[in-house]
Amino acid sequence: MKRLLFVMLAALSLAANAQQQRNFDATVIKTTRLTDTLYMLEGEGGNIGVSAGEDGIMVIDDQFAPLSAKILAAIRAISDQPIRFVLNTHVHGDHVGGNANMAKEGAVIFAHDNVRKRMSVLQFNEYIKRNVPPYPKAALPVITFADTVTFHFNGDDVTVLHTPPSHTDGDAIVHFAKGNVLHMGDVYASTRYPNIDTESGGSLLGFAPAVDMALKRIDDSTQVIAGHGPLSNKKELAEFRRVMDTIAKRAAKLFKAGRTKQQMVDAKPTRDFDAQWNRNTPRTPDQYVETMYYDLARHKLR
Amino acid sequence: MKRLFVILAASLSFGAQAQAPNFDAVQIKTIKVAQNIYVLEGQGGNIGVSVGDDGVLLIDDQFAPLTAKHLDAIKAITDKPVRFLINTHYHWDHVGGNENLGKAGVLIVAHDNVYKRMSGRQVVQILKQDIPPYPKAALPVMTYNDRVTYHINGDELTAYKVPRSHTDGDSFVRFRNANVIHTGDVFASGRYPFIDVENNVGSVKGIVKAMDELIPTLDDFTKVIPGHGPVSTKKEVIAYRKMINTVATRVEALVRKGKTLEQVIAAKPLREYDEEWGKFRKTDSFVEMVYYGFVPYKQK
Repeated sequence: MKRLLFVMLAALSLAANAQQQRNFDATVIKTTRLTDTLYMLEGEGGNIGVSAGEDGIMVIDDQFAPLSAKILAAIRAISDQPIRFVLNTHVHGDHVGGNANMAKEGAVIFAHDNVRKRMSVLQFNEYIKRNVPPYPKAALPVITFADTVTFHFNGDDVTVLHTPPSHTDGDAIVHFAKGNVLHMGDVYASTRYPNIDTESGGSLLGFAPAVDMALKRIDDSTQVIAGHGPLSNKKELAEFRRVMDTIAKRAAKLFKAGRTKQQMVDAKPTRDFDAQWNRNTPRTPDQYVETMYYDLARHKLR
Repeated sequence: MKRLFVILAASLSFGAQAQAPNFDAVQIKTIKVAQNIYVLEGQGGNIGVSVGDDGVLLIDDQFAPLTAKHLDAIKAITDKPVRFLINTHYHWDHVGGNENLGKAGVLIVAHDNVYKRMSGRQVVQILKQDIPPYPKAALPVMTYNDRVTYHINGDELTAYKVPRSHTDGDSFVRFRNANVIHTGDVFASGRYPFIDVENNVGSVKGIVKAMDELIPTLDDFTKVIPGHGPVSTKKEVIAYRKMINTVATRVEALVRKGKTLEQVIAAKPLREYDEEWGKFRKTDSFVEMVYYGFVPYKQK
């Protein structure tokens, strides 16, 4: 099996053990104020969203466990209110790594049903032949949802929407209606192709429908937090959707026409986007197309 | 007292003629339903209680003046803190303690429509209720459109929306491992329910639909906690479904023939049920509700 690229990236985000061996000493948490109550924190791993106000603090994703002290310090520089909620946008270790530490602060962890399901069991990473052990109980989401939940919190209506399987099968996006801020989790990476974690139920075919759920809720002045990459906006998100929709349609067409994996790679369905979108990744465009092939084969589209 | 209407509202459970209840005299009775699961009976809807290592979860909270008594009853079961509250629907005899519990830091969760109704004035003339919007501390903080699951106390508790029936925001709460379910007021055991039909909130046939979805999920050992009445089993749920379906079918047929409310009541559409089922809510008052489930209610 040559699922090289996907697996290298999966290794990055899935292997909790590996994360703990990484050195985060040099990591600095950068805080960007988006509105009176909303902030984006960048460190290492997925971008963090923070809502801080009279009702307390809600945190969206919490990067890696060794960063929790720095993240908490950054949050305390914003507000001394209690941390009431942590939302995980999906299962990956660079988004849920701090869960147990946040729970210790009194936060209730919540996520889509499938996030808890996957975190509860041993996951095997095929390429690196490494087990990702089940997370301890203290790190697991306590309340899980199936479709949509809304928080009436800090003067805003905060809607958490489960998307069609795209990055994984447990993705959620978060819309702050009054704050006009959207957190996309890893359904959106603002400067590169997203990872398609087929091992965790993700699918190439889900990105355009998932982004559509977001686009119909936002306007030109919405501030869009991507799972990875700089703060973004509706225009850039719409372009991302166009790219993902185009390559999904090309790949599906090749697959339905009976092309083999190598033929699909050779057809280079991503060629005109690679210069701009295949950056900041060890994965080659060919490897990305291989992942697409496996995804389409899994869906038995022919 | 500001929330006078709420306090007056025991009429919901004990009939429209009820006097302002004397909450001082109310005693909370604690009934063990399963390992780690209890029901508190007092005044208003039955309270479900989950206890264990992760803290206490409550399902509904009756009336505000009873909160201290509820907390005393819980302290007699466990020394863990109350952390979570689920409201099965918006009615005053199920959410009255919300403000007290919300201020104490309890996370209140309910269906989206519970939040919507509690955020605005609610008038239910059939029960002589005029409820002003609830203060912020009483409102659910997190609401769902479909379902949420709590992974606590060694069980999975799923609160899920059922068809529009008693109201437009009813949920059941299922304890997966313990084989227990709290039905809120969609199911009342051995008695006629209130159906909030007046503003097209609830639906008579919706109750039949909700029971048809519920019954196949029950086995002979499932403990069913109704909104009102004793802890029951599948048998009582089936009997209730039959009663509701009978009255719905008969009243709808009479309405289609152009009968007036008086004529529908005179036709005794619940004749074989009256003696056994009419002890709490009187038959005529229930038939009136069912009638307005098929005929638009004219606000007075």
